[in-house]
Amino acid sequence: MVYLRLLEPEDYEITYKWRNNYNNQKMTCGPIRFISKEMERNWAQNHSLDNSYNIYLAICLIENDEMIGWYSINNIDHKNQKCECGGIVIGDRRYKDGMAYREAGDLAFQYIINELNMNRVTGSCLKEHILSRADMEASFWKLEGIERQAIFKNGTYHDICHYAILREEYLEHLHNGDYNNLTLRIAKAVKKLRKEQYLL
Amino acid sequence: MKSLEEFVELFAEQFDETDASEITAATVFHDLDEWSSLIGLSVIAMVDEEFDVALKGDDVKNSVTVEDLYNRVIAKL
Repeated sequence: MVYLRLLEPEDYEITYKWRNNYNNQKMTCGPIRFISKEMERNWAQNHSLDNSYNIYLAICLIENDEMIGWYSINNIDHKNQKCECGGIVIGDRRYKDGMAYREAGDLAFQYIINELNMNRVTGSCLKEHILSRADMEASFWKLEGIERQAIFKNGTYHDICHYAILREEYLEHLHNGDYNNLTLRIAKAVKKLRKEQYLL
Repeated sequence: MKSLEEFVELFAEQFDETDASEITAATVFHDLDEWSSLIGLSVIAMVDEEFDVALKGDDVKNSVTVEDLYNRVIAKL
């Protein structure tokens, strides 16, 4: 359904719309800022020229090449073979059903492991970002810590959860077939986390 | 086996902000404001728990109404 490509400078026109959509920004680990078209143009231009330390990938539909979101791989440390999954945004509401999110995440992770040869991959999200946490927990990422009241958004402080997975852990689970039926595993994790959040 | 009416009720329980009265068998659920990947995955978990059926993402994606989804679940029993 989707493929990944490096961000192009002209992608700024669509990322500008998504970036200024509150619903796309409210669950990120970054602050909510107003962004001008000029700022967005520079952002896309800069990232279209970097495929070494921070890789910004456009998520596109195979059927018509339409860009529906983006995925970033950040702080790539080639000496220590580690990097951070900086975030995934499905900007087009028609594809916010979890399927494009999963498929793009899988493609990016395969690239991180099999092409970038990373040994340790980290990911962070707001504690209340159920989908992101469920995805990482169902995929056997380990919660390494919770940074309390780490970011101020929407009038309150939010905790940030930090997860990581090692190459050897991923390969072991892959070998054991633990990633079969991953969608159902994520669904169960979503249900568990929603229940926990509801009880708080 | 659960009826369509029971399925609609269970489906509606997955939403936080949408009033259950807004959801019927004929509801085009992708059009609901609150519809999201989070709700979609919650529906998949509910179907697994209540029907012991493992829906795939495509089952949810390719269903239009709540009744369509129910029929897919029943077909997998």
